[in-house]
Amino acid sequence: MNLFSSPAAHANEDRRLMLLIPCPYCGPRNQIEFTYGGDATVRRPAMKECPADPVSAWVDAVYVRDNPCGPHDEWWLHGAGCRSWFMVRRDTRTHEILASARIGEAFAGEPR
Amino acid sequence: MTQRFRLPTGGIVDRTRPLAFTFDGVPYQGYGGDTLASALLANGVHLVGRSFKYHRPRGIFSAGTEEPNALVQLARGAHTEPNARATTLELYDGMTASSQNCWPSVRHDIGAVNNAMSRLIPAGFYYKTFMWPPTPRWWLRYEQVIRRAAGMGRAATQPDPDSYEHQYAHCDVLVIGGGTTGLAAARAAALAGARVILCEQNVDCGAAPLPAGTKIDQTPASEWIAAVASELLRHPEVTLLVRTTAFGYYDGSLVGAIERVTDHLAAPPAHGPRERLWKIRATAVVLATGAIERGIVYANNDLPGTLLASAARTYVERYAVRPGDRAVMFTNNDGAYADALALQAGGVDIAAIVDARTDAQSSGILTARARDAGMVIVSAATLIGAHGNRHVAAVDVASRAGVPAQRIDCDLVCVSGGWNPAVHLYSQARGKLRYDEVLASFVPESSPLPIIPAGAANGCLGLSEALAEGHAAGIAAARQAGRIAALLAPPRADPLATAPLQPLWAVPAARKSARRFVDLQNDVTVNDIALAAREGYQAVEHLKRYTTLGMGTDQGKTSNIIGLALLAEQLGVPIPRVGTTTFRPPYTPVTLGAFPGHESGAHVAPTRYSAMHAWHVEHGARFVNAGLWKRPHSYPRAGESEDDAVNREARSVRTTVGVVDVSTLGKIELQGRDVAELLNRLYINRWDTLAIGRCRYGVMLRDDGMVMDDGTTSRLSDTHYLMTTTTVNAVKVMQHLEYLLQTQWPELDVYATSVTEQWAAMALSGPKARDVLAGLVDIELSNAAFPFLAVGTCNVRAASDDPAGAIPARLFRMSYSGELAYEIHVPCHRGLAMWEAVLAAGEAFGIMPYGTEAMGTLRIEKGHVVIGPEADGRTTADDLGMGKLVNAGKWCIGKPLLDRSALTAADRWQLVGLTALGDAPIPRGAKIVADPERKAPNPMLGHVTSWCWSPNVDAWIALALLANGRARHGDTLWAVSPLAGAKVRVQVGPPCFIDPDGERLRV
Amino acid sequence: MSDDGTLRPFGAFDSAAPGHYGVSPGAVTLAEIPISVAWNVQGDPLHPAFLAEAKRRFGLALPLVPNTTARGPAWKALWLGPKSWLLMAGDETVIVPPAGFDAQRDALNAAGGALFDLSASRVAFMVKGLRAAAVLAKNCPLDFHPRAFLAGNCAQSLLGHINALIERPDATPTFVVMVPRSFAQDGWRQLCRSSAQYGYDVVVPVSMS
Repeated sequence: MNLFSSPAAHANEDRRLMLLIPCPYCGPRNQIEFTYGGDATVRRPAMKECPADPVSAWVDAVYVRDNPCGPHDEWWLHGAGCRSWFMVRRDTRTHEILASARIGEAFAGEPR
Repeated sequence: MTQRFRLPTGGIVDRTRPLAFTFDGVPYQGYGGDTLASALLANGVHLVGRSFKYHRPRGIFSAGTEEPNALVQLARGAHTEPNARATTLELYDGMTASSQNCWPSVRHDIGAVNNAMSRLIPAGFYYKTFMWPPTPRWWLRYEQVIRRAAGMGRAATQPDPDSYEHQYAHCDVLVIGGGTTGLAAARAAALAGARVILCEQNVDCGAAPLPAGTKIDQTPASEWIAAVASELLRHPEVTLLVRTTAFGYYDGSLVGAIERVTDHLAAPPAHGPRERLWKIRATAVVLATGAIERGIVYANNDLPGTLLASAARTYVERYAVRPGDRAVMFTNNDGAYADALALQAGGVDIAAIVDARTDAQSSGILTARARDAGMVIVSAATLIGAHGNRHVAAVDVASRAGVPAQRIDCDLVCVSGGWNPAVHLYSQARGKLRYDEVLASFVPESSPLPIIPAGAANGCLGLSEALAEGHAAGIAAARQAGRIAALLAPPRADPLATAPLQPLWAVPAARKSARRFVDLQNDVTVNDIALAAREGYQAVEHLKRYTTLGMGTDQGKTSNIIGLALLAEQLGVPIPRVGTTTFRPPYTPVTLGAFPGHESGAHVAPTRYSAMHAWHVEHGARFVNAGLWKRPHSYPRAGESEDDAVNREARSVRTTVGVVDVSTLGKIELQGRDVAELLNRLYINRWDTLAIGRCRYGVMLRDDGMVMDDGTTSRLSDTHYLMTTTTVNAVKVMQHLEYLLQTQWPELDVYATSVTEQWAAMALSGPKARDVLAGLVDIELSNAAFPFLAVGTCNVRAASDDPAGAIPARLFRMSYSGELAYEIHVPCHRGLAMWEAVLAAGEAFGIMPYGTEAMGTLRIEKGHVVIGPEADGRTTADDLGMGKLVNAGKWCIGKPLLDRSALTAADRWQLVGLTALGDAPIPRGAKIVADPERKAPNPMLGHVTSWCWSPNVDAWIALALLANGRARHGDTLWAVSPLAGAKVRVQVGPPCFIDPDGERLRV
Repeated sequence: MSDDGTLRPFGAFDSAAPGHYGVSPGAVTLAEIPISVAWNVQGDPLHPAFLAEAKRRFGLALPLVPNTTARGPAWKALWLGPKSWLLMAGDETVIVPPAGFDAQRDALNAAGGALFDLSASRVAFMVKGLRAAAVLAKNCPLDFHPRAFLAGNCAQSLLGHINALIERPDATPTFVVMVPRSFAQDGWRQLCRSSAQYGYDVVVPVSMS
């Protein structure tokens, strides 16, 4: 039973949870050491890039955001630690942290 | 009357340690080991409070954290604490407690008139009655009266005098609950080599009662418990926390627990906290929180003298207190038989055991024992009502067949309606619950998180099974942490054959007006639930909010399941379809002071001090907070007002010389081959032309084109630069740089580090600045040798008695004040020496220190913008008059979006200067209008961003953002503040009031 | 900017005076540890030229495993980040020659790295004794258990709201806590407040080497 939690919330039952935010360098650390850095799926137009309409390319990059239900890739900074920026894949439904990745590297243990 | 109900032997109380206490002003005596509740019962005091809504007399109902009734006001010195649970409050000598929610006394309470009118105050009464007329204003008026009449205890009005702290903890296995199950789990996990934390909310482990004669591993249970507890206590990798309640399971498998460190002491020690908030990170959690007994609802089931059956037994066995002389047990399960046997052994006369089950249904071994002990068992019967005035005196018992009720005299009713596993933290850990038909309660089913329920918390009520479950849970939890258990047999106890429970929630009342309470704390009756269902509040969460079922300090620990079972009955659906309300933290109330811990009062945030802070204090500085920094606002002299001090300081900079502590500025050093390229991309202006030994002002934009920060950057060597940021944006700019370098432009050869803490900095400004410095430094300062925007290093002569000798410094010829000025940076530990050296050298020239306020006056006079007031996140460089700085020949962050038409529109708010016409000050935060008399809405043309009295212009001046402002120079407008009732005529002009061509800073 | 090699005692407030505080007997010892030289070396460990230059300059191989330290004859290196280390003079009597810093910086810049002088940026405190880990754990979320925080490890985290660099020099229950200089007073206050219930002794500034 339990009418008040969605079945989808329990989709990953067999997997061990990461307890904390896993810095790809320092390992799992308390969230208070980190700073959120926004949506990591946004592509910033390259500096030298001259698209036909640079304004709308930048408007997309600055203002347009998805609001995904489920896994979401985001930037985090280990600001009180090693000062590395890295990517975190977080489930927006459960607040579960699925994986983290160094810049330019794939998520370790890609779940799907 | 001294402890008339105390048993001569037994229990954990220490009869050699009598403790004096008062309740409602009456002195009593208890013993060491008592709770306030057990000590009151020992003295025959049951009536401890009045109910929330109807002011009915209420007594002690439980022996634990689930207590709905016995909430008392506790006085401790000058401090008072409301809603303390008498059932968990450890007695200390001199305790002073009183009942709540009654006036003038708990025996004679005027509010009890509500009881007589209770048919007029059903569920939702307040909502229905006071929602008319339909404006919130009226509700607010009613609410004041209602709150006074209802409410729980009185909140303290003084600041909390106690100290609290946090403690982070890490372990492989956290065991919550130190009963037999938890002990078995902790022992197994520890033997597997795990780091273990065991939290027990009681003062000792294994406090829950077990059937008489119970043995574990062939030893009496109490000896086994003591042996395991002491084994755990000695184990180097086990932390055993008593008086510690795990109150919440949070994201990332963080468990919050509150340890009551000193509440049981008459005189808390001088050092250390009253409570300690544990933040525990465990790889796996074993939930051994046990189960909470529930009652059965019948008419007048709230009379004092009514207790949960297991609680009555706890008072007898644990505290050696008889809760009454003659008891009627009312049950639907076997547990009450063990309780009856224990009560009888404690000298309580068992008048009858009323069992809702038939003989055939109640054929367990405990029933047989009770029968053997000569107890009267009335089967297939219910207790339909209790009688008494402020205490139970008799009960009516009827068989279900409709035989006339039989009245039995008694002064104690012990009720058992079954057991509810304490699944709160399981549910918080996203655990799914399942309705168990055998227990008639909700039990854990599965959780995606590493939390393992065991024993009664898992619906396993038998000791032998619970021990096995605890043991297995301990091993499984240790394995999750990678610890493999050695072969170890689980602790064993003989199984006890029991008969199953037959669900019974509420007994129909003989009279319609009889009140049958489901939720004792919130006065929610069976009829209230029926009414709510009829009125459409059929979802359990709606029921809760409409009736207040399960709210309050106990959060319905004894009432929730009954309430939702009754709702299911009303709706004609199975109980699982109704579901439960959400179990939110905290499990039990937590003192608010524990959450901030050390971070309260002046220490809510840390404070940053510059290297010269002690000097500022010594010289009478008034301080202002700038972020976390304390900065000197001004240095008023004896008898001088702050305003006069600011004006004196600002004048001295323009006429002679002043010095200001600017250590708080953000400083970032950059090294690498590509620093100039980075700066080109960051700032609107050009940087590849900056020569070594020179600095330049720059403005940074956000991606959206708005001004983000400004400052100067200096080139110290071919590959080494120093960037300064504003004080408030120091951290933000550093993060911004790191983000860009690491994620966007990893190809750039640039390394950055914050050096804000490394350098103490001061600005020496005024026509005499060069003269002051010339006598101190070992380099040539002439305009030719060290011109405006020059950067260099030098050694500064320190005081002759300074053993460290000359101070190595970085010198910058830059000016914020608009005067001839130098910025001097020295390693932080020499900051004070440098400051004193400058002041000593400047004495002959009349140097004076100035604070942030005079610095503000000077920059307003010069029209320099500040990030925040002028660059408020909505302004472009062009709005601030710096459009010409935007280099057309290169890209920079934010530049693409500057092309949006709205950012170049003619009516943009642009930076202007305002001069007040007349002597009245320009009001703080004033808006600018053309006609102050015009009726609202009066079109707003702009607003004042910074304002001051300018001792150098000799007028009130301001900077403002004004629509199409640059075209309005010369106009006369009004600065108005409807809030302050002020309006001032102002003349618009350019933002720079002093030396617009900048000749002074180049002299 | 050259460093003048002098010590930087911080004791600017009452509770820093040597003596016993809190309950007796004490289970914690607190002291300031003067920092003589602390330089931030940055560079890409994938570039052999940079690593070689750092080794030549400081006589040690920069530790590449996160949150570890390395010791050479004169210098100690603490891992700060994947491209960042703190080089501290292991012996306070080492005086860096006045021209020392600029020359070292230029050499590292030439090798594709960077060198920043942070000698005055931090203040270091020693927290020593049976309760040292408990004292730090009141306001710091790191795990100080000897199996989790090994001798020779370092880590950056928070002490309350203050950034802290914490090092465990050896297997004894001793930690070195470094906090930004402007926060030193608050950091010290937190350590004292956390220690009072166990009792603590403040001793005169000590050297850890």
